[in-house]
Amino acid sequence: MTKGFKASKAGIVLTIMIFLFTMLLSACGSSSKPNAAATGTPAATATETAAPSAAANTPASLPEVKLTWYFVGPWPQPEQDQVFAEVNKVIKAKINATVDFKPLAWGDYDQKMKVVIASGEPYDIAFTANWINNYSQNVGKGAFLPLDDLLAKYAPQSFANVPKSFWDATKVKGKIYGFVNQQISARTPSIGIPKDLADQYNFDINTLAGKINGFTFGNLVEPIVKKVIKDYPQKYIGMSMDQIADAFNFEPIVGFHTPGVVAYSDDSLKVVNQFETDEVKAFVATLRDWNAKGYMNSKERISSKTDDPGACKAGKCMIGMGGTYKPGNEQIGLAQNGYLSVDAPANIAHLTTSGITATMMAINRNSKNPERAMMLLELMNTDKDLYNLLNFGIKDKHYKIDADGFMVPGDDQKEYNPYVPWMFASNYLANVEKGMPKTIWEDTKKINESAIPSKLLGFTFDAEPVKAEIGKTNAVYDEYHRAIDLGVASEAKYNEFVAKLKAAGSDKIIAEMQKQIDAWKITK
Amino acid sequence: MSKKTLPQMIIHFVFILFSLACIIPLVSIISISLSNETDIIKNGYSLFPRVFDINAYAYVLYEPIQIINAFKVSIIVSILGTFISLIVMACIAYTLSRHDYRFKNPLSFYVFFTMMFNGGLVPTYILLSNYLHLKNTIWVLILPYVAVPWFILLLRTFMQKIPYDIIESCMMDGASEFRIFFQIILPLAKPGLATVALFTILQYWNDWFLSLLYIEKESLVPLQYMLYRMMSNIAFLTSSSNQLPPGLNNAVIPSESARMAMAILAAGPMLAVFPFFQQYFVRGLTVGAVKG
Repeated sequence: MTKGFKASKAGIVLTIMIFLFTMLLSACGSSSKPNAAATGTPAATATETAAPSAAANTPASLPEVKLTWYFVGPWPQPEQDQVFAEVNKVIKAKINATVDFKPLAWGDYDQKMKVVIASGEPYDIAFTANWINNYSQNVGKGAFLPLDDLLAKYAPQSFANVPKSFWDATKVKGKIYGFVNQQISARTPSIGIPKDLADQYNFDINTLAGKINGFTFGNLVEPIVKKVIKDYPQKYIGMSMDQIADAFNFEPIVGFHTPGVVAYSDDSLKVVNQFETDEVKAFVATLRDWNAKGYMNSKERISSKTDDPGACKAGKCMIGMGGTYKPGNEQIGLAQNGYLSVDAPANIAHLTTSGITATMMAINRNSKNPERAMMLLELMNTDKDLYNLLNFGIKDKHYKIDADGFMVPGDDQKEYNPYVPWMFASNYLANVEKGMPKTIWEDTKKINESAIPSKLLGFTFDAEPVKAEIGKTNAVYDEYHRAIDLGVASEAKYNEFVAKLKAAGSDKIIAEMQKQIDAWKITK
Repeated sequence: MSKKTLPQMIIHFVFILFSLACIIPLVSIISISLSNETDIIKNGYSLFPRVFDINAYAYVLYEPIQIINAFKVSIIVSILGTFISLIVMACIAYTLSRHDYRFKNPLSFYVFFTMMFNGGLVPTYILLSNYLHLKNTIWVLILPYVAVPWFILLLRTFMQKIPYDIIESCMMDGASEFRIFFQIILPLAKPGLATVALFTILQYWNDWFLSLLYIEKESLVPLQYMLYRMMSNIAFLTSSSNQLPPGLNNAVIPSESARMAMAILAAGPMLAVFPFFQQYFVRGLTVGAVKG
């Protein structure tokens, strides 16, 4: 008995000690935070004092620094170290810095960046976007440095090159936290058909260009589908709600899977549930009709959750929609699918916040050399050779330039081919690939400029308060979308889907969106 | 024994079903890895390859240096890790099993407590990377799993079953504590140690999480992480292709059969190791159940 008592006393003492120790630790933790902030500010002020001389900076006058750069992509590439070494030679010569490249794989990036950011690691630059390493959440956490002053001082060219509306789109509470890598930001899906089919049926895809939305879709596309399916009943029609989403006449706030959209034409910015709009209903009715007519090959396709990405390679694709239309699409499709298709924009392109915040670089709040990090970004965005080196590898080894000035694969292309040109800097600097129009970047720029800006441009939704509901509604979407996409779901089933979304909290999400949009409208 | 009653047949049936549920996925993975890719796309999976094709292995092993290196890392980590971990855990477990040790209960509690509460992901990351500077070293793959409380308690229970009289008589013969531990206790605890060793080696072999967090150097990437990275890349690209910026090259996705070939290569060595432990395994597994 006494022994047991003794033991438990020891246990109590131990527990108390552990708790004390934890408290001590957490105290250390919290005290280190202001510290970090404190060290952050002197660095920033130091920047400002150093600024006047920066304009006339030569590499010799800059002290040598080491920068750390996190980014994502299909890494690792076999010869990446070789390429990074080459890149570093140039960077060293120009701004007297060496970059510790931290390329991470797609699947790892989110998780890894969360711990890296939470631990306060003093990295310098990281890729951030609305779809990975979430920009607005990180800004909310205070992970990134506001860039307004740095941009003006150290990256005047890039700052001027990017349209003001783009910078506005990245602003959170009036400050820029993301350095925009320009690419095609105006979004409309591309609609494409394999070239041999188009030739065989004498079909011009451009007749559909810019006309497709949820209402017109059925009438416009059915004639060609009807002809092809008669001869090739096994071919897929790649048109799901997901894929056509960007052609609908409304802007999804979080993504098409999550309830909550605002019509492009709506000045009052009223958030509605897209699955209850007439447009989506009309689209779904078309799919249902097509399935009844036997176009969808649904018996075979319903057995798997997604169509096999290799199916197109196996020649099973007929007509498809998806991705984003941009000049040079055909060439990229050829590389991806192994056959040539002819593409056209499905609808008029819209410029949305998510199209712009899709590719950005951010500078860490704890960065020891934020001014140098910004200089690096400016360098990447102005030095075409450096950018292409990082992008496509070493010239005449990983890629070649042919007599006409187009880029063709080099002998060792598979040793270094990350193919994420929008990752490192403005896509406009990239070598033009063979098969792409020579004016591809001017064309892209034009599309970006001529696109209709969304009325929500600059608004970013903070999903945190309704995270659970978004998860639940996405689960509902996952459960039903395949049947709906293949036209198998009856109207009753579709209504059940909408009802389940409601039960999962779609109204709460929409209310939250409306609340944030209303608040944003006032500050604007 | 030979009487085949109905209940017995039902039991057999249930276990046959269970075995099938375990075996069929494995067989189909092997089959897919040996199948022709276009055949899979056209006709779906089958239990036996319709068109026999070892291209997938040729593809995976095309650049063998990376895979061989990953194998090397995995093997070093598994063997070294299991060895260190067994020694450390056996020491703690033995100490805890001795009822004449004064701080037995507080120490047990200390071990047990970490099972319930731990530092959490971020503090652990800060500790390992910023204070211990273990990032990008092979030790970061080994040290975090050296002392697993659950295995310590398992070993302790096992060692408690060894009669104290044996230890006492050794002491009378003048054996030192170390001698008792290494020459008497460890051999007697062999079944328990073997069980824990199997668990530990599996844990080290199958771990990818530590390398995800702490390894950035390609030369230190273990096999499972390579596999995980490949799989998660594919999952990421297929699930969120709609949100990605345009122009992403999907051509990087390895074929279905190559993925399965990779899985077989990663799982293979463990299938070979398992039988060696099996004789101890059943005996060892029951140690937690019956306390002596």
